[in-house]
Amino acid sequence: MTALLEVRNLTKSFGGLKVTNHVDLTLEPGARMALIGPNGAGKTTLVNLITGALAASGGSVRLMGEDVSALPEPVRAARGLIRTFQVTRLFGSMTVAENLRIGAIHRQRRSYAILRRTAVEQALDEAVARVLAQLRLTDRADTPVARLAYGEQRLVELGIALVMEPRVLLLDEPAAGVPQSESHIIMDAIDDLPEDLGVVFIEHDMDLVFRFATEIVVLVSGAVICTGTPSEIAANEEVRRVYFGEAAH
Amino acid sequence: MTSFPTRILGDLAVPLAGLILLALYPSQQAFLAQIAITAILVLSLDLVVGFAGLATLGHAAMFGAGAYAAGLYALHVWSEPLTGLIAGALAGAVVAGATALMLMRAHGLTFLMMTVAISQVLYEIVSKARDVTGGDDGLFGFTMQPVLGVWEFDFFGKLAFWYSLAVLWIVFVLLRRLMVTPFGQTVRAIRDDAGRVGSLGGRVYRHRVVVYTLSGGIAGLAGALSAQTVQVVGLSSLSVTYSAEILVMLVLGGTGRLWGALVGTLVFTVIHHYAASIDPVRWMLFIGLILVVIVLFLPGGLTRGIALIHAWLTGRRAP
Ligand SMILES: Nc1ncnc2c1ncn2[C@@H]1O[C@H](COP(=O)(O)OP(=O)(O)OP(=O)(O)O)[C@@H](O)[C@H]1O
Ligand SMILES: [Mg+2]
Repeated sequence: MTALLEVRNLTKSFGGLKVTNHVDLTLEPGARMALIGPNGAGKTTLVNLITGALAASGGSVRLMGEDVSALPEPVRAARGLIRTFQVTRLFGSMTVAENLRIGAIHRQRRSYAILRRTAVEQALDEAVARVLAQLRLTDRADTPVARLAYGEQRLVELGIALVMEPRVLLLDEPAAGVPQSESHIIMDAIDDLPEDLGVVFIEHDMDLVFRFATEIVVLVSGAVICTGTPSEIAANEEVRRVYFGEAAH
Repeated sequence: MTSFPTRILGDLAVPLAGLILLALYPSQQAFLAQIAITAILVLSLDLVVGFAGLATLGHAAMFGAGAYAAGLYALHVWSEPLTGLIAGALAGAVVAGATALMLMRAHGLTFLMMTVAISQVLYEIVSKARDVTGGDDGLFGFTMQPVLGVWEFDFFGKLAFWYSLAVLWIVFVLLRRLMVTPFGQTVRAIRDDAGRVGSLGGRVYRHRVVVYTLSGGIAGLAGALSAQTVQVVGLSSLSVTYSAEILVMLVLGGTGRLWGALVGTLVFTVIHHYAASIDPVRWMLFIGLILVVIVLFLPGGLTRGIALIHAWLTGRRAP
């Protein structure tokens, strides 16, 4: 089976600073990969390089066997490579349902439709309603996102990605800023995703990491220092020293 | 989603307002036609400024292009008005589409300066091509055939009024529809966060080019109407000053809500009409003061004010 996502030798420098240092990653179908590392380790940058939001200085990204390194971000997204943002980026003038609808419009390739056709509208409405229900946002559908609490905004951020029905989903700290009492809604939604999908999630909360990850990648100063199953990572001396040592103070 | 009666009422607002204005000012039909034409232009501007979120000072370029195209068409090709409208709309769309290919690569202040530059280049070209355009003297000497072969243009602007009102109505209703289509919603999403749309697979540049071209076509249509009803086309129709003036109208009424374009045009033109007859020199000062007050205290324009009052009266929160 070909891997969903294969990152080889990915490198990025900002001026003299190597923010991503020869990173290799392989994401198999069904994987739930946690990307962990201290602040400033280059986790978000790595996501930006994989999606094409940032141009890499070197290396390659393959999506379902195909080299997408030269493709712009929207083309990679249209092929099922979808991400969420660490700092919520919603369509601020719109309601919850309208935000998800923008995702559905792109998923169903209707962004040039200048007629309101019933069949098209129904398909869009259905896709939106499904994700609203999944994230328990149905009664918030018509609320402007600007009026939501931050935790709910994080749910909408995730919802926009879910409605895209991604093949590979990159989640940048999906539960950050969400009250403990609601973070399970986000993690449940991630748990409910189709089996064959590949998920990479950046997360600082080690409880969530060890509960949901099938695989953990540790990034320090732009380089992968260690990859393994949760139990391997928990037992790894170097990780304990570099990562948990730093996080513990 | 608005309810059915509200939607129908919205669609009927333009002819209703037209009839009310006609009853109030029965002897001013040429003036009312002017308002309707300007409203079409300001609606097209709202598409770019309000819905796509691109501030421009070059929108009159497309209006002028449409006006000159319709004038030349009537003079040299055929003086039939409806095909003349199409000629004007095409000219506006071509100017917008061609310049959008460059413009939409720019952002912010660079974008704004480029809209001014393109406008001025066009102005210079039209001004220098005296043989074709009449230069400073303007383009005139064309007469129009009756609309649909039935309704003659008249000296009092009676036909001009009905003709312009009908076109405004059609444009307004179609734009209202467009805003709730997937395309319209995508354009709004791009305004809110273009990068986010890109992350979903959206092609921001292409959508901007399309919406700008469409807007240019409508501006050209307004230009053609102006040429046909006034039967003179002047250089000022292309000027940056005029672009600024219609932007003031839009901001006055409120951007991004179509209604704002109508209200802003009406209020601006009526103030202009009266204030300029009271004090032809300082009326602009008056408009300026109103604009400052709006920008400072009511950033959503007059229609935002109306929405707030309505919400307050009905005890609901304003949208
Ligand atoms: N556009 C940029 N220009 C210059 N330096 C940048 C840029 N973006 C990120 N950096 C730097 O790259 C490094 C990695 O940043 P990044 O945001 O990827 O870290 P992160 O692991 O996501 O951190 P956090 O856990 O705080 O989100 C940081 O030192 C940051 O200052
Ligand atoms: Mg980060």
